[in-house]
Amino acid sequence: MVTGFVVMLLVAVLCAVYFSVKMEQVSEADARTYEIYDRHYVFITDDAEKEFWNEVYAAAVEEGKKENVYVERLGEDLNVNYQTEDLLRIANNSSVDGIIFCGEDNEETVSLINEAVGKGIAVVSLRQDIEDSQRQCFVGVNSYDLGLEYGKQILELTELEQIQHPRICILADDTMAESKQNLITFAIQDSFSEARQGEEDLPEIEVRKIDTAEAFSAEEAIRDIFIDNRNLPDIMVCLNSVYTQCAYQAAVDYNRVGEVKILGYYTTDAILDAVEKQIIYSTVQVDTEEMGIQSIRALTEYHESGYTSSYVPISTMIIGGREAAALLQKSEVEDAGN
Amino acid sequence: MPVTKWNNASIQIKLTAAFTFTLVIILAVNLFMYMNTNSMMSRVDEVYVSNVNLNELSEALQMLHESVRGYLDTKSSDALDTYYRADQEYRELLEGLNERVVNNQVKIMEKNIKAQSETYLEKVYETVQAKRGRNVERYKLYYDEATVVYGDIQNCIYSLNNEQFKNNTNSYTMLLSSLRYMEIVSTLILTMVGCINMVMIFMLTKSMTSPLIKLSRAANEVAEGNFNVVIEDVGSGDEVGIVSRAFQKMVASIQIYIREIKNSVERESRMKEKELLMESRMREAQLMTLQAQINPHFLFNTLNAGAQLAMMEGADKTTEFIENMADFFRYNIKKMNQDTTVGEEVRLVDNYIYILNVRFTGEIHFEKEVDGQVLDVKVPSMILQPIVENAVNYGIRNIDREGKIRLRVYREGDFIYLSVWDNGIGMGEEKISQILRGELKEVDLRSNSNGIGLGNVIERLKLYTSREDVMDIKSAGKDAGTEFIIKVPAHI
Repeated sequence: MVTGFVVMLLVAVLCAVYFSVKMEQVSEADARTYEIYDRHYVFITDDAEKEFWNEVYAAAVEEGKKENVYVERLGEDLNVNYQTEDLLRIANNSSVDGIIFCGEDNEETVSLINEAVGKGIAVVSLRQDIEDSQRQCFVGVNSYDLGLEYGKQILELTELEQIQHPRICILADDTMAESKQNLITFAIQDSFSEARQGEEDLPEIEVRKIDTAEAFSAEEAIRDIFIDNRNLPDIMVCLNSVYTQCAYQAAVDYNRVGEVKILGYYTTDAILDAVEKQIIYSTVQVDTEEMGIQSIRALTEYHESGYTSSYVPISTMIIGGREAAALLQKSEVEDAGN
Repeated sequence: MPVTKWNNASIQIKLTAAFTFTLVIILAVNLFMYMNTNSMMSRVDEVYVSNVNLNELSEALQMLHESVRGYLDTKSSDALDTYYRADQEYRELLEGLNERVVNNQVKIMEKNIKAQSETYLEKVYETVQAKRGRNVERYKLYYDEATVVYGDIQNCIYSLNNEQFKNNTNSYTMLLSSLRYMEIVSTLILTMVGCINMVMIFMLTKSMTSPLIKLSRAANEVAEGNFNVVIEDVGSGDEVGIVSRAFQKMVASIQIYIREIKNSVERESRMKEKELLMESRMREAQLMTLQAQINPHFLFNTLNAGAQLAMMEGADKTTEFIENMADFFRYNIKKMNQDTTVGEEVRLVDNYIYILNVRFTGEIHFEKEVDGQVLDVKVPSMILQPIVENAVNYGIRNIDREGKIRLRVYREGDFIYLSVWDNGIGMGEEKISQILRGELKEVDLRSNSNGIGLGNVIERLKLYTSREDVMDIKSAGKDAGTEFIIKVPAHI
């Protein structure tokens, strides 16, 4: 009988303990403690090329943790769809410690960046430099180098396909600084003139500016190019991942695969798949991780020492069919591993 | 030790302890559950507090902005006062917002709102100051800037409110599911405790009733006459244990009493049997006597008449002889069915020897040594004379030498010895044991015998004394004589 009492007491106590533990877990889930960081940086980009920026942001967050910096992706949790300039203003008024910015290079942006710098907020421009501003650093790919890479690919293509006078169409944002477009164009022409010394015929290069102010304009503009049969370019150079995907989808839809050679930008799974199938001839891989890490390092360096390099180049790599297959396989293995 | 204490506790204590214990446990479990549910409910109530706070913040900001606008519109001191109050209220509400850099988006948004609000408050202050200084261009510019920041802050608050609402809804859902989970767990715990409680009560009552059932079965068996029931030891010191042990003791006592009663009944029946046997032997002896002496009364009366006649004639010897004869027969008539004393038995032998010596002209030399102390000791009648008669008839009757008979009566310890010795023909061992075992056929009744044989004497002595060693016969062999020794206890 005494045993019975003991058993009952034990059962009651065990149940109570189990129950308390469960309740504790609920409480912990409800009220977890937060880690405190030294600095607060904001990461501002536009809505386009989400996948690309997600990778850069993830690398920046990881690097930020190492340096005890909280990196906020400003605008992500706001209900209003702010322009990058508005986000810059909010960041300024929020007295953050640093801004990593990729947006339109215009006067307002320049003024806001200057205001931020005036308030002591360090600013790093990403991928696209805001040249006239007082930003502390630019982290991105050198446009001339990028042009040279594309030039090499175009040369390869013209030789492979026996195209004498290639018509090249470069798809670029209308916000892209003129100088940057020119650099890319020059670089392509330079690579031709270097390869074909003495020849007068340089490729015909057209820069199509896509209106970024209007939503979905890229897809429409690219389809327009494919519809216009008479002016169909031989080679299409896409300067961002969205244009790349739009271009290869249009090529497939209008049955222009092989007719219009596409040179892409960035390596999403869809783009890699297209490269492997040779719908896209090749694509440029930008080291997103390095971009994220370098932007954080530049800001921290500025905070700690008061200065930093005004330009941090990010390496690029050309991905052809073989490399695309390897990358896809690697990504599949990683997915299976997860 | 506690187990022993528990076992020895009374049923009242056991029941009270069991019910109190289970009641306390169930109460404790209920209380525990109730407290947890209460705390959970209060947390559920607090879930949306953050949303309420943000709404208050947003309203305060709106009030502030409207008060600034009101002041700009009217420049009245009331409006200024309203502005100051709104500013104060907003600042107070801002105090509750986070301002640290932490890895939580909601907290970071709070920090952004707070920082923007500082900028906004600065700008509205400058606006008001410019208005007071009548600097129209500047206050308009400042007001426009403040309005932009106001919009940003309201958007941020709205977004944060949404984010909080999402989080709070998650918490709310989680709390609700926890509540449901808690309901299930508490029901389970209560059910388990209840089940164990039932099992315990069942065991407790069984531990109390099963010995009672065993006891009642045992009682039934006892009622049916089986006193050899064995009741297992209950092992507990409660009332049931006490009753069961008392019952065991009672059964054991009954068994002992029954045994004793049986023994006494047996003893009594044995005694009765003995008495009956004795009586039958006496009757046998009497019958024998009657057969031998057809009418002793007539003979005795006749002898008395003869004695008187002889006395009248002056024949003294004849008188003595006839008197001895009369005594001898009187004794036979009188004492046959009752106990007598050693003295009377010795006197009867005297009479008998006298008669024989008259009859056989003094052939028998009789000697006697009698311890005067033992003459009053009670003995069965007719035990000595038949032995003397036996000594005369079988011992010395047919010998050429002078026949001698010696009677000795003496005491040794608690026994009286009546010894009859003759110097006759003696007796072999075999014959002696035959006589002692009673196997020897009684010698035919003769005219000169009073008819009682040795066997009869030995039987009666055994029945009288309840002993086996009542007679011993010693003889050294042929012509070496025989000694019969009767042994009777001095006190019966």
